[in-house]
Amino acid sequence: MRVGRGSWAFGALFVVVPSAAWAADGAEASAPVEAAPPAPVEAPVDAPEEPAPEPMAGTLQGGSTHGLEDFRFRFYQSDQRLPDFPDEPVYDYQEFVERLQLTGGSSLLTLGLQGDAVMLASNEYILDDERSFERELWSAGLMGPHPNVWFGLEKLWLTGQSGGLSWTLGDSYEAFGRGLSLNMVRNTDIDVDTSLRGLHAAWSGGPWELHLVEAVANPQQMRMENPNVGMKPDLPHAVHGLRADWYGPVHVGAQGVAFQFARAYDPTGNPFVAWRSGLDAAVAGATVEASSVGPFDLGAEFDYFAYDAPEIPVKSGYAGYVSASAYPGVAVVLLEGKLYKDTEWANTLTSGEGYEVVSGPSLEYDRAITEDSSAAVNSNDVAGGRARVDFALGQGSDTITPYVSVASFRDQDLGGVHFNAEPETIVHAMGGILLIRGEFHVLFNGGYRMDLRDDAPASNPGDSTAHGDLSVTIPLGHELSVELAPNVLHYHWGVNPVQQTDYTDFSSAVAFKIGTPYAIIVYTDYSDNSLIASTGNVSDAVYMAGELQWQPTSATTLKLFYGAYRAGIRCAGGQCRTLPGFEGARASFTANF
Amino acid sequence: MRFVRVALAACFLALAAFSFAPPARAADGAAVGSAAEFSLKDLDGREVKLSSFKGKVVLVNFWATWCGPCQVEMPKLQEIYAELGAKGVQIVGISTDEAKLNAAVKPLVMSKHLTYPILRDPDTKVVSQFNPAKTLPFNMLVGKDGKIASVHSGYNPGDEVKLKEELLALLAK
Repeated sequence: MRVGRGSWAFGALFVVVPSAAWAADGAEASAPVEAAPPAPVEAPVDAPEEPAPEPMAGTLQGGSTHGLEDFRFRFYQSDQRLPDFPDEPVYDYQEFVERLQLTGGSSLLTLGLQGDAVMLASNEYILDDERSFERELWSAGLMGPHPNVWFGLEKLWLTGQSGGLSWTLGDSYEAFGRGLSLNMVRNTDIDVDTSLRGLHAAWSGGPWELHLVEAVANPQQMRMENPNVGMKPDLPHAVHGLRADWYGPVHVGAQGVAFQFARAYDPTGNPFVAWRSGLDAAVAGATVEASSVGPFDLGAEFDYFAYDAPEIPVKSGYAGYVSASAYPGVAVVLLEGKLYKDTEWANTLTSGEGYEVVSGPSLEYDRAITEDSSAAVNSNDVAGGRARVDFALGQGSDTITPYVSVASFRDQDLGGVHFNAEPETIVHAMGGILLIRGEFHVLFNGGYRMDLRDDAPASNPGDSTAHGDLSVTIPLGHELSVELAPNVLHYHWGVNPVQQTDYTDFSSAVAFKIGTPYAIIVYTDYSDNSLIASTGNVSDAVYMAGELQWQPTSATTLKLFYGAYRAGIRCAGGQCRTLPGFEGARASFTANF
Repeated sequence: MRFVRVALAACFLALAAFSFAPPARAADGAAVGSAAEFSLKDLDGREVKLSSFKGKVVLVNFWATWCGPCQVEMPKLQEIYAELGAKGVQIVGISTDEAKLNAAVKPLVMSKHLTYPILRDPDTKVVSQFNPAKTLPFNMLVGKDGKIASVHSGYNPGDEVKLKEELLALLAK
């Protein structure tokens, strides 16, 4: 039996490509790394004096080029074995991921592109003269030069500006209001990057602003942080949006968004036939924001949802959100409320692809969201609010800012990923502190959450979560510092139709930093959550890893990682995604140039 | 043995990638030396152009409400602003929080007693111009001539001392 190795030459190619771009930079490329930032180029003293050009808003003056080089290497260790070959780690493999982003232009026009490439190595074996691929990198509808290689021009955009008009042809991002009607933004914390490919125009004149979006969704096909397996072509969901804003004594906005969802991968490559002729969903709404209304800053949004998609079982929905903040004395008070009824249905046809087209404020604490409580985040029938009070004591290098918050929601949706069969009342109390004493600092957040189910026995009224996360930086002098970041969560399940077992998650990172350039980080994870699909490298429940980070310049970072981390749900910005665990080695190189 | 080979190959590739890095321009990113300009709204909806601070040394600080190191750094920037603001240093904070977190931005600013202008970049257009990786916090120092003098990503204890030294050097130019 022989294990395929793939082609290392592709890996070399990945790192040579950006170097070609840098080499074009000319003379500047020869200066030493330690050199001070180059002095701005001054006009010769005897040069004829010319009137300074008016600066243009929103773009760089004159010509400029920017770039981002992002290279990842991952070596996956797998416990999977072929029958009769228990000692052959056939399913171990390597993944090379390359992203190159280039932007160049002047004050009037900017052209940008992002090229992505991924290659798997050691992804095949030959058994009894028969070659087998261990996993499929890309599926029908995509093309690659080899079953283990895919590359593509993932994003392309041309932006222009003239007077009050700015426009983008190609890929851009947009959110209207608080994201309730449209929220197509990057969320790289959970490896989501879905742009809107088409026309995006904005016009401003006096107190008025208009935004127009006419585009299709363009999700990233290649994942930067997670395994690339079974990559599929994009479903080009069509998005039509218009928003008008008026900035007067109050800020008033109104928006309308319509969605036409693509249903299936079209083998002919023509995306148009995949759309229905009518609209699948339409959202119309308005926002109001007012500062200094008495002691308050106020904000509100209301949106009405209309559905006509056969996959969506309701015809309408609505969403409301309000906020009020006040600053009496040393206290900073923030009150927020939400009422979302049948709004998550708008994400029905995109959530399977790992992203959402609408997403309002969740008012949840992202780090304490679990497999169960994520259901309340994505609920189609939830109402509630959160109150938070910060106490701003001290200033500058002698600051202490404690806070308390309490959130309560009523979740009456029983579908989706809900584990229970009864409506719940959720109460989540939290407290925390930011303490700064010179170069020493502490950040702490802790809380207790109860999901109280209707009709549950008093002895076991529902689920509960106790959680805490801490970040402490201790300076040791001579540019040395230690940063400790433990995070713990204990979950107690209520009675479920399919009973689950209580569990504890713990993770910690201990970082030793030597000035800005160097950091050595030791990661430890523990989880006995039976719902997660990974096992540890130290024991079934314990994962350990180490990482070396080197930042030779402020624009360049190199990371080397070896070990394992656990799978599980990750949430950022109120959106959640279940991500796989990892065991093996990783290297990454990132540079802005 | 197989892992050793793979690890060596990974190290080789990473080093190869780094060896191709152009030292000078990459030292602080491509933005250094180029003229900076953008226009964003402040927390009251007023349009603010970076060029309106021309003639001052400007420190542009990109941050977000969910960014822990940003929260530690901000009070120290306020200290610098209180000391050097009258001498010609202007600090401009830019919140990159997405639109749904709008309500949390001003309370955070108030809790940190920040007195320098805070602008909003909810679709991260401006931070993407100068820092495509969007790492936070991200600081950009702009000289009196409107050109970017240096950029810094991340925050470690003591970084504010270096920032202050750079600002003083730019003031003296």
